Amino acid sequence: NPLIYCSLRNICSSPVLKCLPSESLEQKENVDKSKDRTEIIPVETSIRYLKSSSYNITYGSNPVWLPYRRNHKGLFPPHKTRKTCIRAGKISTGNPCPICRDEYLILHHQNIELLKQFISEHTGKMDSSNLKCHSEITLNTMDQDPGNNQSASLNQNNQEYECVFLIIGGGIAGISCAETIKLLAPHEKIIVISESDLVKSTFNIVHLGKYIQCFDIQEVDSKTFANNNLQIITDKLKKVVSKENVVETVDGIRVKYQFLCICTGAQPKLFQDNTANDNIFGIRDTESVQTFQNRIKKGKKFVLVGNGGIASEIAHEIRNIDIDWVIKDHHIASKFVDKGAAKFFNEHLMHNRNNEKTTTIIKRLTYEEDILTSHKKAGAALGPDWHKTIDLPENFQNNQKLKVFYGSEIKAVTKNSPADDYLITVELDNGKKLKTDFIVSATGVTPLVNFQFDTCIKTNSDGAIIVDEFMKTTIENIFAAGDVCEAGWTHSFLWHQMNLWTQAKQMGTMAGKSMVAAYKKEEIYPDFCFEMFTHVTKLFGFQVVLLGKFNGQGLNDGYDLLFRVTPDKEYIKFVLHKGRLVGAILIGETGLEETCENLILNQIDLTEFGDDILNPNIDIDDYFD
Amino acid sequence: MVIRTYDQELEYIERLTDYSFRIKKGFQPNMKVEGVFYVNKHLEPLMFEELRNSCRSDGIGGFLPGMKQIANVAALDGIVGKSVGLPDIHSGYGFAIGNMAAFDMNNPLSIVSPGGVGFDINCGVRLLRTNLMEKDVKPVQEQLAQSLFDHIPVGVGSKGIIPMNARDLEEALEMGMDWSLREGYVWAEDKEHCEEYGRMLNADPSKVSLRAKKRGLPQLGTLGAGNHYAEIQVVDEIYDKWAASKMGIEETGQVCIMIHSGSRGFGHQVATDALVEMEKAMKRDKIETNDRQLACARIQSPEGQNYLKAMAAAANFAWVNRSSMTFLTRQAFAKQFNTTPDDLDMHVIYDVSHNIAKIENHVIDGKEMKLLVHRKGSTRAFPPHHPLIPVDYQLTGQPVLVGGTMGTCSYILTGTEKALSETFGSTCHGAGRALSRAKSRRNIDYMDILEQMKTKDIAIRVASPKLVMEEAPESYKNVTDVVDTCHKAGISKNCVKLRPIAVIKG
Repeated sequence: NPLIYCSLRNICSSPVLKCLPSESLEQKENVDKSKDRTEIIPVETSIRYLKSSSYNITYGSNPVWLPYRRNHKGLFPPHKTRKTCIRAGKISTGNPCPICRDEYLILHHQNIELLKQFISEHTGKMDSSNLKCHSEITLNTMDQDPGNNQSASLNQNNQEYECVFLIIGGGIAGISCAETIKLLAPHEKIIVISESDLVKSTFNIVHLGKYIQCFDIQEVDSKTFANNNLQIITDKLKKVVSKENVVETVDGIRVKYQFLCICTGAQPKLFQDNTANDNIFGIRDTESVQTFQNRIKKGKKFVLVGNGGIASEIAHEIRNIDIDWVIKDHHIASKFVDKGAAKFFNEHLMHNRNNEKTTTIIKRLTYEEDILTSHKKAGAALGPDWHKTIDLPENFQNNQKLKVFYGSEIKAVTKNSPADDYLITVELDNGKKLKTDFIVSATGVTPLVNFQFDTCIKTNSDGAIIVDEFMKTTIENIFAAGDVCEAGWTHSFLWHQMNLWTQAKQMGTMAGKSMVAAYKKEEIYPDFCFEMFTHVTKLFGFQVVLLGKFNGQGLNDGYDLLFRVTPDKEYIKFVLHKGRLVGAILIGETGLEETCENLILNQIDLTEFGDDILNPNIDIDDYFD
Repeated sequence: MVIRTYDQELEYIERLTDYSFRIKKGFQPNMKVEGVFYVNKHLEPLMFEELRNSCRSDGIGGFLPGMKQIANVAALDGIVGKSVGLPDIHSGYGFAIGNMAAFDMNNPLSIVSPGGVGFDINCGVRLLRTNLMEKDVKPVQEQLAQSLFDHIPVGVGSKGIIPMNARDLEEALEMGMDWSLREGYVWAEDKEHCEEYGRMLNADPSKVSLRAKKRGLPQLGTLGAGNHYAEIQVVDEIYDKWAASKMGIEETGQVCIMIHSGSRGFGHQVATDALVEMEKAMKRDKIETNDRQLACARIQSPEGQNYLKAMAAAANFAWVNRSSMTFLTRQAFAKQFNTTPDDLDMHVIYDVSHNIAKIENHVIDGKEMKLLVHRKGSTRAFPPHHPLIPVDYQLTGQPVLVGGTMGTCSYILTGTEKALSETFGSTCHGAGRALSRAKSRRNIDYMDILEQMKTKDIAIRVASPKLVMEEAPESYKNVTDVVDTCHKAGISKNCVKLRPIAVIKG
């Protein structure tokens, strides 16, 4: 009889975790030790207790609530239980419930063995009728962590999970994918495996046209993002066993899926050289930004390689150290803007030079650098560096510690003797030698596939997983999205792939859509956002919208450029090809986003309008209404 | 084309009444009928200034003045009566916006032109009434504006409020508001207060290109539309108390919600597809027009029929859009005031279409004719007792909703008998802007830097910069002037004036 054992141990109940010792010491002395519940027992103790022999002697294999009977008048127990058996830190009732009586039974979402005892065999749900006391607390505890709720109710151990949709990666692509699935199939189980506790979520989505949208990115704690059907596991993927529809993680967790989406992103492409590997690094995540910060504190000078978004921003923001910037092209930031736009920004900056209050907001082109921004914000403003670096190529600028080497690439790196001021020497392909402390390589990224497949998956030479327009890989039921994949379908004339937030989000959403469609066996169309390239960002406080072939990408056989520039207000560039609008850069509040989107997608012949298509006296948005 | 001086051009323009002018045949080549336009003394100089500017040069690039566009439309095959320019007329692709024309269905040469409908097919306005007063809404307008489109994907079951997948879209294109009704997003009464009962019966989704369908599907599971907007408005002035009360508007200060949207990208694609097809058909059928933008096809030709069916599908799509926004609006209000939309009396007063072509019967010279009426930037305005208007408005005439631009007033008008006889039952649709000639100012500073970007194959051109004072008020066709002109000319009757208190962009 368990009741007899119970009396043998002379045990008396447990406090709930949240119970704080609030009463004074004198009062405490008066309390019968067996009824005192002010001591807080950690949940780990409780978990060990449930496995211990003393527990076994007390309860055996029965659930803790079995021998307990509520006191009540009449035949039927009142529907409502008392809120708690513990008041003012001690047991205040003659017949406490098992949870309150046994201080080692702690209701906590990690205490799965205990929680399991309250799950009804018949429904698989939390059975509050078994719990004769503070059932609400229990339910709340269980809802707090969906993972354990799920694992408990499925009666699995920690290491095995099962879900319909499995997503690897908690970046923009992965989270967009999860959000889309949540929206389209709200009742299906989704698991996200992320290497970090923080996941990236988009918010403040503003539609500038039907397809042009800008959004901000925030890092949210994975726990706040998770809910009943969405679970986030912090772990690293080791292996995909596609034949069994199972993945294995480094920690040995196995997850069975029906549909898998790989959104593991990319890693910086590093300039490889064995002699100086310690002194070359890229910038991708928070950790590498910290390394970078430490190095720039110590170093005197570094070489920056690459001409993309990250490189431009480093060049603009870092002022307390010398930079030798090595770029392949003939003007900076060629990936995004042209010389004219640079001049436009320049004028804006000149105009506002005396106005210290002007906020020059630089928005990251890659979100991982948030820490860098906040760190640098306190320091020098990025100010007019931007234009100086453009106007004076190949000149050492006295007050600026930035030197730009156009049209050159690194040929070799050699280690200097310890006596030298600088650690390494960099040789460029034009023969120039630069002495430096370290190299920051920002020459783009390579896809990150740091796990194994059991079957061969089709990739390109960089290792990017090739996907079709539905984000399907060559292995059945496996999808991929974001920087990790290459758009392997025939691209629309007006679209090209770039590693940007916008595209990570678009691909993630498309993957989500087509996974749900595959699950529900529905027919879907490839998303229209892949018909035209769109990207919205902010530079120097201006909104910058890039559409279509905004720099005339791939139009070798001649095209027209049409500009409208109002200093300090707007910069508009239309790329016209055979009389049709194929791309545009819109900087500032132009109000032309939707019109341009439509004109580009419609491919209407604009020849007859000539330059007047940008005549400010004509509302072209109205004209094409 | 003959080049004439401004004074020579003026010989073709003749004043008809205080509020209208006639454009005589010969103003543009091949005019089959005469043109007419309505203006008051504020709008009149704007119209003539446009013409004068265009005589100085060859128009502004491809942008023709409104009068020339009216005359070019009058030169299209099969046109009957006259080509009508409404007071808010302004330059548009093919037809000017605010230009309407009717074509004889029984004439085998008659044409249909996508330029006469516009790109944003069935762009239109819907007005909801409430029984709230300004003082109820004013304190919470921020929250209302915020919540109006906030919960778009939420809480509508597994189905989207807007068609989300291929099959839903096909059905919505075919059924229009019946689709929204079936899915439970609108009330049965809403349909009654819609032109065509919110569904064009000749819609055929199979005539719509796959590209258009893809363009019509929502982006990323949201409404995702840039220019969808709704305005919370209050009744500012009631001109016709009896007609207003028939619409459920009892007193000044009452709150209404105006929803303005169309078929957006979907309509654009339908129109573009049709323009491409019709250019080929024009060569085959030897149709000649004065303006390349007036691409058209014979109504009875396959291209013409295809376009009409696809356009009807786009019109249905726009009604579904407006219905979805109606649903969201009702939800937001119900949530804010913690009651039901029913208790807030949130009925649709009316839903009008601005950009559409419809088959209607009209009496021309005492003879009833079946016509294809193109209304671009104009609103149908049928008089009392017309069979096509809902039973509730049989005595007042059809309500006409005229939205101003953001931040200005909007109006409710009613249709008149005179509109039916003079303008095929049409009146204005909103505000407009006259085409004015930019002073030729190039920004020399920029030329040098842009020159540098020039390479062998790339031509560089620079347009005039936007002047800071460019919103010159004198070139603007104010909505009040526009509705007053219609009222004075008798093609519609002022009923209610509304003033916005909050604008919500989608």
